[in-house]
Amino acid sequence: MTRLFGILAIGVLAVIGATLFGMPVSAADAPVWTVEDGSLVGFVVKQGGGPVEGRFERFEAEIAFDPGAPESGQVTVVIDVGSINSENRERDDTIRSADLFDVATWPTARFAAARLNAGEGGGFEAHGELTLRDVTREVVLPFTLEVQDHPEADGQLQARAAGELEVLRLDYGIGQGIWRDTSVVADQVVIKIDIVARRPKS
Amino acid sequence: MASGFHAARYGAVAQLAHWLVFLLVAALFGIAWYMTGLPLGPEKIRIYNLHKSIGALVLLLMALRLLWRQVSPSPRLPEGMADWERAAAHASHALLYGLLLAQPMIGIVHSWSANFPVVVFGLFTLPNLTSPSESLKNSSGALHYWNGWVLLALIALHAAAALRHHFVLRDDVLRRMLPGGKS
Repeated sequence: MTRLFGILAIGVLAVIGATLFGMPVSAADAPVWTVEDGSLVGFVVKQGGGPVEGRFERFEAEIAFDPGAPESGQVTVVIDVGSINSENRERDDTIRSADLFDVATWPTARFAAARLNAGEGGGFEAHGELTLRDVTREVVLPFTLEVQDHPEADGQLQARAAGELEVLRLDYGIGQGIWRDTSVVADQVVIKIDIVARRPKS
Repeated sequence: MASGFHAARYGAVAQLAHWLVFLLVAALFGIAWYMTGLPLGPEKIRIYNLHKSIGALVLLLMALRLLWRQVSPSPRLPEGMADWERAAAHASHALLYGLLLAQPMIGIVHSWSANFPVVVFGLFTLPNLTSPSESLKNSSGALHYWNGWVLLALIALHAAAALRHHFVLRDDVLRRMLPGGKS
């Protein structure tokens, strides 16, 4: 009986040991976070030299991430482009139109990062594919991360990830016809994310 | 200022400012006429930015003119004008100053509430002092439009009065705002 327990104990320890050291860890092992209200996916673009900010009111994010093992993480964000809000209805309608995002044809934008790693200065980097309209390009989104006990929910952690990524809108075809002109609305667009998410402490 | 020295003519600074504002306001009306019908595109934004830039310049010039009047008081109205004429002259000048100061400010508030930046000649952006608001955008836009018509009518009255002084009353009211006359 004692011997049986011994074998069992060794077996359990071996499995734990193999998991902790050396064995490949699948993405599914990283803890999954749930995005909270107050999260932002937005952008800043210069218009005639002055900044214009906007945000996407609706997006869904699947985030699996462990700051201690960033390589095990995986992030997918799907944005409802039609939910754009730059605090001007006429401009929002124009951004949705065929010459810009063409929401009727491509209603969603997507960022899928399968490779995450520690970056400079304690931050992280998400290497992934950004799809706007029908164009997909490789991008790197650097972000900072703060994790703390959730201020409102006992037994939960709250994380805040913030980052910026500059893209050229014309690379993605956002600017057909008259909007190909970058002298008024700049080619450079800074995508900003500020995501607040929670997960149970494990 | 009543205690100040009243010259017989407007000085070079006052004349320059007056005619500069005239040219700028003429340009603003012309641009306004053209720009509002344009479809939203880079060209429209470019033309609007020009309108905003010139408007901001008019606001600055009008503020400086108001200050300059304190330093260098305007010539007195000619003798022999009826009381109602004097009252009308003072009121219309005060109203011109008021509307020329108010119109750019209303336009700036309109841009702010529409969440379009006010970039002055591509040099700098005015800080946005209002939150984006559809209702403020609409009310300030309507006010800017109607104020424009009132301003245009007032400018026409101002010009007609100056011409009446020159051709009908044959006094020096118009001449003293023109360069080259004797002082």
